Amino acid sequence: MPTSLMDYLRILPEIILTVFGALILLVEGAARGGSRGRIAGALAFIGSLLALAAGISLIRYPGTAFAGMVRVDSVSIYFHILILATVAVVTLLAMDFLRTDGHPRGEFYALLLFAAVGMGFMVSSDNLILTFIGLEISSISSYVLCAYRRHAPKSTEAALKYLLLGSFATAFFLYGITLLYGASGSVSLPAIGQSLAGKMAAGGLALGSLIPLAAALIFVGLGFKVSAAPFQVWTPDVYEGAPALVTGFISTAAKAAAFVILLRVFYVALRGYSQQWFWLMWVAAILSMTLGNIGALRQTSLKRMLAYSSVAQAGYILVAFAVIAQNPAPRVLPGHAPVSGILAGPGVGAILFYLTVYTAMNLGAFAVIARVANRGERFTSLSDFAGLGKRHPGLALAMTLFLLSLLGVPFTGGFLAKLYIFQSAFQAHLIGLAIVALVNTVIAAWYYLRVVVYMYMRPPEGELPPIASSPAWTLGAACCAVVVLWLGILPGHLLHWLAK
Amino acid sequence: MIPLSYYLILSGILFTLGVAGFIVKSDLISVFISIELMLNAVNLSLIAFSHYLRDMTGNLFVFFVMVVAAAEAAVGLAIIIAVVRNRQTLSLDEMDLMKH
Amino acid sequence: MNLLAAVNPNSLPAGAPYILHYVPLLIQFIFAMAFAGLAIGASWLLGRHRNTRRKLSPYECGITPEGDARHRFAVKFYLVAIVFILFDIEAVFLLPWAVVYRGLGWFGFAEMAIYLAIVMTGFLYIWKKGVFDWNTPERAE
Repeated sequence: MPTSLMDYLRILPEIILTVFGALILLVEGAARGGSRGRIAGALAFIGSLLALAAGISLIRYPGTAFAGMVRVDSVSIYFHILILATVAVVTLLAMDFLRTDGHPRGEFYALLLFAAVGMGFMVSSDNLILTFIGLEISSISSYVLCAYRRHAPKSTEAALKYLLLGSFATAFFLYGITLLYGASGSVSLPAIGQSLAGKMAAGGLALGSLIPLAAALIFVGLGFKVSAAPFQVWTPDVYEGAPALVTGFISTAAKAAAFVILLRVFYVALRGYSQQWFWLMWVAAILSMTLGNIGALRQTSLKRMLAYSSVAQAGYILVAFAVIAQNPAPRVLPGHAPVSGILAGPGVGAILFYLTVYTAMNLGAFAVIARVANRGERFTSLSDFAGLGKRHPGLALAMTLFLLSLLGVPFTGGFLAKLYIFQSAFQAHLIGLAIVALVNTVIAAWYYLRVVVYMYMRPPEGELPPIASSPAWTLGAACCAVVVLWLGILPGHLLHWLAK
Repeated sequence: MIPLSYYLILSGILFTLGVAGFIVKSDLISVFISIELMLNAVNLSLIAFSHYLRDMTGNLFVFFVMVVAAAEAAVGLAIIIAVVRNRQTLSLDEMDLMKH
Repeated sequence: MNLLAAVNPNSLPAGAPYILHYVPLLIQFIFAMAFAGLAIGASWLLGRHRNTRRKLSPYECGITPEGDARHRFAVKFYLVAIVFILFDIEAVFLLPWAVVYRGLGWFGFAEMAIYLAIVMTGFLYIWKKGVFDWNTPERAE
């Protein structure tokens, strides 16, 4: 099949990001002294905005590219916009972080853009090889980002743990997709789905016994990436040790992209086996919510607490995956359906909405932590936040908003996101799962509200160094706050768009 | 012809050895080698499937797995050097700055 | 069944166990071991042995060896190793590309040019960063 210009248009966001990433490396290689990082930051911001524009323009070019390797459908467009917007916001926040940290290096931005390239391919790939490469591009960039503060023992240790367990998980994922290839004879997701369905109808297949094993291995691999229990052991250490901003990035955009792979592999390729993988999702959802929330209760480091909280949040999203498994048969085959085919199933819309809100509120919370932590990230414990309401009312207010949204208080995006998940669980008659999720939300209230209490009702402890004002940071954090509030009060726009 | 199952069983054994090495070993380099063993076990499966399906995709995939493994190794070595400079140790048992 | 019949695998009967295809390999292995053993054994038996201190010391290109073999290497060496791994493996894509080059035409040429341009960007970057600069001490940052 000849390649046409259209093929390149459909991966334009990735092309733009790659070009700008390479450009930053060249500029940074030549730069000396004070200009280091400054030009790179500007380039990264321009690049991510251009890529975002290209991502939005994908709406006009739905379809497949490069012989079916890349699929531009509503899910991939949606997540392109989400991820690229996140990258733009992280770039803004990074301008403040790199300056505060005192070692501005433009490579930070290049790695950020390269990670986004990987995520872009993760969400639009319809081919397991491309999925694997996308996953690795984003993972390897993230490993290096974690080690950004390379003279800090905690930062490098976090990077090491992330690298080792990440590669370990990748090997599982890879083994899983290899078995899937062997059993179906293809690496294209729709082709696998059809091949497996066809062979099942024809009375079993020769290597059919490999499929449940393959599904389990893929789930282990992706479970690590989205930090779902029982594969969450690395999360607290990595999230605590990595720079707060990097944690904010890998816990949101990277996680969202991994969830899309989970959705595509299980929903498109393994649809016929939903009875089996329903239980994977069910068990992982309950374990993640419970272990995450209970683990968060006794943390004194805010970063570590939010790490456990993000495990719990992954659990809520997995509830929606269990809902999808309950109703696996959409009217149309996603491989052939019009663009919105993949959204036809119940629960998928809830996942998209939840991931959007989660990205905004979690990134926002880590942005505030990064700012309060200040140079060298010394101030990340709960007691450092005591009295923040008096010292820095703006920061405290923003943190309160993000925490309340993470908890799921009405008029924040987090409330509606949780509501849709619970609603879809009830509709699918997964009453037990919904009740566990509700109980967990109550447990979570304790540790989220504790931070708010510390900020407003405790006297300040010790001296905090002054926090220099930063327009870039304010703009970035404001974006997160606006999204959280907008989706909490006027979710109609997004819901309408999702329904389309 | 050697049956496909022989390759798959050998690949499974190698992969399991890799997993066991990853869990049991406390030396950083050994753990790293275990991961490489796991990836190469997968490569063996891919080549075997590719041959039995008479399909080139598996061969192609192996190239990408090799390249990705090399990139991972390069970044891994760099991070290990950074860790050793900070901590002066290669033992995973001593990586406990964040235990609570 | 006569093992020697397996020397030429093409002459094997259809139902023969597959393992018999390996007999030529086994024979080659035996010959290789025998030759190596013969060569080393013969020189041991026929030669004269007069060990001196100098003869027993490790050979190092004719230079007198100094120091312990287990001394610490400068990080530069690891850096070179890392860079080598990367650029070594990049070449893997050139091989299949070269095989089908005629079939791909200008499209293949352009794609490879883009690929090499990206690799070269990385090369330029590490060059500018002084990775190939072996003599200067490490830059303090």
